[in-house]
Amino acid sequence: MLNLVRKDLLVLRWHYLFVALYALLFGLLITKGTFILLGALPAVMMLVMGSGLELKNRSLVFVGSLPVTRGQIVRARYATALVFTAAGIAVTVAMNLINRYALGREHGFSGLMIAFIIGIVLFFSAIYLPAYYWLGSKGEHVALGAALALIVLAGFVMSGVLGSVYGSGYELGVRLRAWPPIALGGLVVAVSVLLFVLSGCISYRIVRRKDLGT
Amino acid sequence: MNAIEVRGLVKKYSSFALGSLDLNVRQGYVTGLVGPNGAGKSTLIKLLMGLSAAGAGEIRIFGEQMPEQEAGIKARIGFVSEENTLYEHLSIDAMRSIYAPFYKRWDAQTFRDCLNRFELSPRSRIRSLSKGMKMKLSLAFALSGGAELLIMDEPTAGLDPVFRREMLEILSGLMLDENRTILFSTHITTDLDRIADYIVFLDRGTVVFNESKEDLFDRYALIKGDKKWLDRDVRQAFVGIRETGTGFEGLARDRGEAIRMFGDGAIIETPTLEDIMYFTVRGERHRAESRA
Repeated sequence: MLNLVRKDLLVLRWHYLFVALYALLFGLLITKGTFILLGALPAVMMLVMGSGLELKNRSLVFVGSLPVTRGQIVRARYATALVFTAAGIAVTVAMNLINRYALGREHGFSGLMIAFIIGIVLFFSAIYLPAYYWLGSKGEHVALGAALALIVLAGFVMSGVLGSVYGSGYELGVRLRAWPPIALGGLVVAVSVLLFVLSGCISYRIVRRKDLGT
Repeated sequence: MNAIEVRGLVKKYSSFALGSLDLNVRQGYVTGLVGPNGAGKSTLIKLLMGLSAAGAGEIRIFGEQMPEQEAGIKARIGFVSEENTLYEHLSIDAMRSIYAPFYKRWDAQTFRDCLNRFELSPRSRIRSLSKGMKMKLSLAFALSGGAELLIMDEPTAGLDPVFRREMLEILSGLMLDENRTILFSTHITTDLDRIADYIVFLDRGTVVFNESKEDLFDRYALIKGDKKWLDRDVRQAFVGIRETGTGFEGLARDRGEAIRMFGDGAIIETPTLEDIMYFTVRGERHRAESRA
């Protein structure tokens, strides 16, 4: 399985340059926005680019012909998503440290941000990967679109639910801020990990019966 | 001893069904999988490689069951696909660095030798290679992993005659190692005439025959003669017949019987594999139409 993860990382090669450029642009030059997206987007980009390369080259046939099981193929892809999540966090932390100590700029970086980065990437992976395996080469764009649409939808539903419990708008923000950050962060990570694991089981069920490379 | 044993294998698609199929591939020989387009050759190979999931049946390779022991089995198989499935944006050397760690028996020297022999530079991008060169590269990867069984899906399709001959020579050379087994599919029957020991003929998802090439050529006979010979009994001795304005040409299923039947009255020749394939398919289609 480690060789499969290694493959996923090596295949991207030049694509890491895009990620580095993105990090430099939004981490050092344009730093108005939140650092959450600075960490989450590169991870999501790497996951999507890796899957895109696999579909473009019909490389699931290549992967399926290697001495690995289908279970290992799925587990490796999810493990790669975790590696990309860690890379996204590393980018955020690195940019924050550079801003704080080299450039003397303060951005209010916190552990909660890391929890949200984990939440966003794992939630995206949990939706995108089963759709990717299910739809295959015929529907990679559909899988990507569906994943993004579901994230937005989930965002609306979540804020709606929270709004109905705590009130809405500014009041919701105040209530959330009243939560201890560790509890809120823990909840976000716990839910996303749960979804991620569930998604892995669904992906395995899809891949187990699927013709690879179609 | 069999390298591959298939029992009751079934795979159904909306417009095509393979099987139920029984098949043995003998260890230490070249077996050619032949049949018209859409006969099920690629489907069978995908099932053997675990790339497709079977609807029913059992596949054993080296005596071990697929897909239960697929990782161990596939470590002993070199696979060459009809289409390039390697990452096109990578160089050959970068692809090697991805591929090699999967195989405990990876032989770096064999890979270097293959690249030299095939005139491939490790620094070349895969996308810059011609179809023939990509096929050779796939073969280099398959051989360097220490494969005991080579499974190749249409390795000569789309190659020019020079490349095809070269590829067949390479495969012939591989068979100097008596433990190695090759199964390859093709619809170019002349490829099989050159190197195959056994022929598996697949049509409409079923095995029509699985025999040694010598037995096939001994058994079948190509008869050319006058149409006056073609009464009902004589027709039944043929697998398939093609009638022209003046005469007929047909494949007799029993050479001895054909000689007794026609004597000097017709031309009796040894058929090529293409003749056998053509008349078998033609005969099957004709009988199916008659039944309908």
